[in-house]
Amino acid sequence: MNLKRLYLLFLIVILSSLTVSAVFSEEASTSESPDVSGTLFEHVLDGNTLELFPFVPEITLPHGITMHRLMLVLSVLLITGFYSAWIKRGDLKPKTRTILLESLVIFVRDDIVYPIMGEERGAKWLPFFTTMFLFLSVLNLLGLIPALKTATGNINVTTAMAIVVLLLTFIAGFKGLGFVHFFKNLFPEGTPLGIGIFVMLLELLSLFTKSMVLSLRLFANMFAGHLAILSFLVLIFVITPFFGFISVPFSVFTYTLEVLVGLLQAFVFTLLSCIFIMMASTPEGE
Amino acid sequence: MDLSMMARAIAVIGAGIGIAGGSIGIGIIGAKALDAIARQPSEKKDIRTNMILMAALIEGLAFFGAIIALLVVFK
Amino acid sequence: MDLFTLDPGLVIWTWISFGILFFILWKFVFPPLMENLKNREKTIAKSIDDAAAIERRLEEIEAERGELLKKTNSEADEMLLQTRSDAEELKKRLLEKAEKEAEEVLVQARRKAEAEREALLRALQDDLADFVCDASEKVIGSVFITEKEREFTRELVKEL
Repeated sequence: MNLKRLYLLFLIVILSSLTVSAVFSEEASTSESPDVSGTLFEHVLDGNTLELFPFVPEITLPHGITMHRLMLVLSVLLITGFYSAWIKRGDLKPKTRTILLESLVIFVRDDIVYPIMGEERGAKWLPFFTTMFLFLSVLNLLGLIPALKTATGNINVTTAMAIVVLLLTFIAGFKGLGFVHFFKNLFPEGTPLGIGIFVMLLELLSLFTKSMVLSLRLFANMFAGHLAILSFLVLIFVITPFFGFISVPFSVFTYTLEVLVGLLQAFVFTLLSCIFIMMASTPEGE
Repeated sequence: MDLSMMARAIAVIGAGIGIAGGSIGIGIIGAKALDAIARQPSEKKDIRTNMILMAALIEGLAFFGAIIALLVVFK
Repeated sequence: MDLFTLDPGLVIWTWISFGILFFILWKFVFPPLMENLKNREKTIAKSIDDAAAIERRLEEIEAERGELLKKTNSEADEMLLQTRSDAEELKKRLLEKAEKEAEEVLVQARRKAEAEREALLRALQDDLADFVCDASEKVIGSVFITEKEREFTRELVKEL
C-alpha cells in the first residue's frame, strides 16, 4: 500500500472518529447511566424493526417477519439473483463477474469437497456444499452492512443448519453402509461386548455433539465478532466521547477482521460438515 | 458483594481460563502445522485442512466454556 | 435474556430458505455452470495443445527453411567457385592461345621477311649479274656476250 492511500485511510478514520464523538457526546452527557448491554444486544439480537438510517424513524416490519428472517430471504434473493443473472449456458469467454461467481464454486470444489470425498462422490455432493458455503458466507457478511443483521448470529439459524448436516450424516451413512453396517461401523472391532457397546454409544453421541458444536461455533463467532465491533464503539458512551479516537480505529480493524472471519467460518462449517458426512459413510480404516 | 455478582465474576474467570486453554491448543496446532508445512511444502493443502479441523474442534470446547459463562452472566 | 431462546419459526424459515436456495442452485444454476467449466477447460486444453502443435510446426518450418537456406548458400558458393575457376581456366587458355597466335604471327612474319629478303637478294643478284654483263659488254665494246657467259656471270655473282 502506498503512502498516499494510507494517509487517506488515516484521514477517514480520524474524521469518522470526530463525527462519532460529536454525535454521541450530547447523548452521553444527557443520560446518566446508559444501558450498555441493552444497546449492544439490541444490535445483534433478532428484532422486528428496521433502522435504515440514524435519526430517521425506524420501520416496523409486518407481523411474522423479523430481521433475521428478512436476512435469510435477502440472502436467498441475492445469491439466486446474481447466479441466475450472470451465469449463462455456453459462456466460453467469461467476464470478470462470471469468474467471480465461478471461482467460489471452484473454491468449494477444489479445497473442500474433492480432496475429502474424491471426484466421483464429490460431484454429487458439490451443489449441496456450495449452497451451504454461499448461504452461510452471505449471511455472515450481510451482518457487516449497517442497518442489517447477522442471521448466523442467532443460534436457531445455525442449529437449523447443523440439524440439516446431522440428518444428512445419518442418511449418507445408511445409504453408503447400510442400516446395520452403519452401527457396526461405530462398534470398535476386537473389544469385549460391554465396552464395545459403551464406545458405540459414545460415538453415536459424538455425532450429535459434533453437529451441535458446529452450530455453536458459527453462532459464537458471528455473535461475538459483531458484538466486538460494536463494543468498541459503546466505550464512547461508557468512558468519554473523545474515546472515539481510539475506539473507531479499533472497531475498523475488528470490522476488517470480521470480513475474514465471516468467510473463514463459512469455510470451516462447510469443511467440517463435509468431513462428518464423509466419515459417517465410509467403512472404518479407510 | 451479592451472590449473583460473585457468580458472574467467577463465570467470567472460568470463561477466561477455558479460552486460555483453547488458545494454547490452537497455538500448538498452528506451530506444528507451520513446522510440517515448512518441512513438506507439497503437502500444504492436506496439512491446512487438518489444521483447521483440529483447531475447530478445540475451538468448539472453548466456546462451550464461553457460552456457559455467558449463560451465567446474563441470567 | 433471549440469547438462547428457542425460535421454531426461525428454524423453519432457515430450512425453507436453504431448501429453496439449494433447489434453485441445483436445478437451474449448477448444470450450466459445471457445463461451462468443463467446456472451458476442454477449450483451453485444446487451444493450448493447438498452440503447441502450431509452434512445433513453425519450428519445423523454420528448421526446414534454415536448412534450405544453408543448402542454397553452399550451392551458390560452389557455383561461384566453379565459375571463378572456369573463368580463370578460360583466361589462361585464351592467354595461351593468344600467345601462341602471336608467336605464330611473329614466326610467319619473320619467315615472310626472310623470303622477301631472299627474293630481293636474288633479284639484286640477277640485276647485278645483268649489270655486270652489261657493263662488261660496254667495256669490251659491243661484243655480244652469249647466253652461256651470262649464265656464268650470274653464277659468279651468286658466289660473291
